[in-house]
Amino acid sequence: MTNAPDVAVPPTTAHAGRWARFRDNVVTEAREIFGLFRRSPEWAVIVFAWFAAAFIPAFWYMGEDHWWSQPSSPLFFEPFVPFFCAALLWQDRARLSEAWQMTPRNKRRGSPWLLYLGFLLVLVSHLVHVLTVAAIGLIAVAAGIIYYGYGALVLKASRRALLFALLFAPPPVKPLSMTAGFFSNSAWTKITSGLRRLGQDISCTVELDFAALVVKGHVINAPNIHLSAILVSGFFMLFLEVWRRDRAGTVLVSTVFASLLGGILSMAIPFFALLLPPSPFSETLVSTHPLIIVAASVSLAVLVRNRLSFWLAAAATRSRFLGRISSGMQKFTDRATAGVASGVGGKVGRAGQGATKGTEAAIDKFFAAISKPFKRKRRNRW
Amino acid sequence: MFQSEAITPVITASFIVSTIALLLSVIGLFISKRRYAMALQVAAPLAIIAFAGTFATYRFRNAGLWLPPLPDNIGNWKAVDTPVSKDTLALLGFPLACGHEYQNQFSEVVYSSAVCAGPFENYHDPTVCVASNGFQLTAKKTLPMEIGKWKVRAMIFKKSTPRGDMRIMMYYWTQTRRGNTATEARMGNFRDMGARLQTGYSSVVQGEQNVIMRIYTVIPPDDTEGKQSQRNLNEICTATYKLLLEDGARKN
Repeated sequence: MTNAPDVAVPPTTAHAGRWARFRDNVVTEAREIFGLFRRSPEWAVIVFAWFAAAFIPAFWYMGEDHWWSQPSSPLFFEPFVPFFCAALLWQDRARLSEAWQMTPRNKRRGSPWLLYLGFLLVLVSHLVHVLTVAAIGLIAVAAGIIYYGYGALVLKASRRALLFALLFAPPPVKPLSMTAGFFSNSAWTKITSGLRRLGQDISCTVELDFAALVVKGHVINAPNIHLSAILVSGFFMLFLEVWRRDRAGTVLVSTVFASLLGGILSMAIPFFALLLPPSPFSETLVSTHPLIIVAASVSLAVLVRNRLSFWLAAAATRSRFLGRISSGMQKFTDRATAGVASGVGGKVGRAGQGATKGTEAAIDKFFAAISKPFKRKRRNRW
Repeated sequence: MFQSEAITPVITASFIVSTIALLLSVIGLFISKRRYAMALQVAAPLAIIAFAGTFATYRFRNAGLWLPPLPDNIGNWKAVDTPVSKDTLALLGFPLACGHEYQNQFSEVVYSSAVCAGPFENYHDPTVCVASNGFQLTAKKTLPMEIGKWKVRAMIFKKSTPRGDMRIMMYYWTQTRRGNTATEARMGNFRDMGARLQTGYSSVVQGEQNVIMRIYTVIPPDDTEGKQSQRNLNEICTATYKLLLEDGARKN
């Protein structure tokens, strides 16, 4: 027998490896989801019925008022919320299972009042035609199903997804429209005044949905997407941060950063496009689709978030000044945390300890006040 | 039993989705009671709510299918048909609508429009819509008319023009086919929740059909107190209200 010739294995790059891992993960997750519905088909029925109940309320904002169907709308992100919540619940499945195991057998079924409240709210919403009422009702139904089927501990374990679901409830549209109008008005005013300073012959009239720009006698209608870019960027970044289970502070800073980037890009792209000579290309740039701006701002925010510590460390090694600041901050943080942890620190440690204790005490008091009416009084059985 | 004009593709789609949801939750019972107990307790009520939503949407569409005629000639007033503009209809979600322009021998003009009130997108309140056209609301009062419990909301709007101030006096009310009238706004999602609930109940549960009446005139500069304009509006409104009552009673 002759030895088989060695098969030349193509060199796998890191990129290809990442893609293969991603593909494998997707296939595994899909199999697991399919397996869940095979094991418990009642969940497929429940999820389908939930979407059936949400069908008509969704139509109010998709077919009638177009708050969900136009990408330039500040509420364009809301239809994604139920799917993202489902993803968060799926990510939390191990915790939910753990909570279920920890639940005593006699408390594995909760009361149905939350479910009934949700049903009532959805029914009332069909009479008053207000999506906020319907959305809160549908969230209450989702929470009620978990509480009724699995008890309070599992409901508590799924709070991350349920809190995120609150974004499904639209805020009052009048203040939102006014805010969108204010943002667009001030953005276009600033863009045109900046261009005029650079010697451009430009004027603009801001309407409800678009701004009519007159550039050297040439009219361009640009959509008002500024608040939409800010809110939708913030929303997607918020989801990514919640998905990564980051701390509240990091989530807040990243979300605000992505929103700011969205706002800046929604102004910068038309500004630089209007500096170009009028052409179909510059017109396309001025009317850039808001989702492109959102994709760009979220990608940039993720890049900065992932590389910030590396960039700071690199900058600190190159600059003596930045290095001192960095090491000083590190020392401050170390001492503060050491003080809290050991209870014997120096001045900074005690300050850190005091601040933490104060916060903890405030949080404890807050939760004690909330839970007070629900606590059962101990009865004297004698 | 059902008005086919009120059945839109969305209502059909929602009906199909609700039916599938209900069938799935009920069929499951025959497979394994223990496994589907949860589905029946949760999915079946959800499917019924989806049905209720479909029915409510149908009823709201049905509520906007009664377009009563406006009176042609009232005393010395001659009417000219003035259809509601396409832009206005688009803003209101394309309801059925008609309009008349009445003129008397003194060249006084009163404008009248009837808009069918189906879903709440048809309910645009004059205090918001007229004000967005550069007018300022300067007075608002609910006036009892002399027939039964009928009341109208009287409003005066003012706009500054190069020729001087332009003033509009408008009467606004909604009327059901059974003759019930109301003057409250229903445009605001939260602010007008009570009035919306009332309309929802009458449209969905009682199956009422509604029409929104706006009758207005430009107050001439010499009519400083607006008394003549009010007399004109009263005359046109009374005739319109009576015709609406007659038409509602006839078709019921």
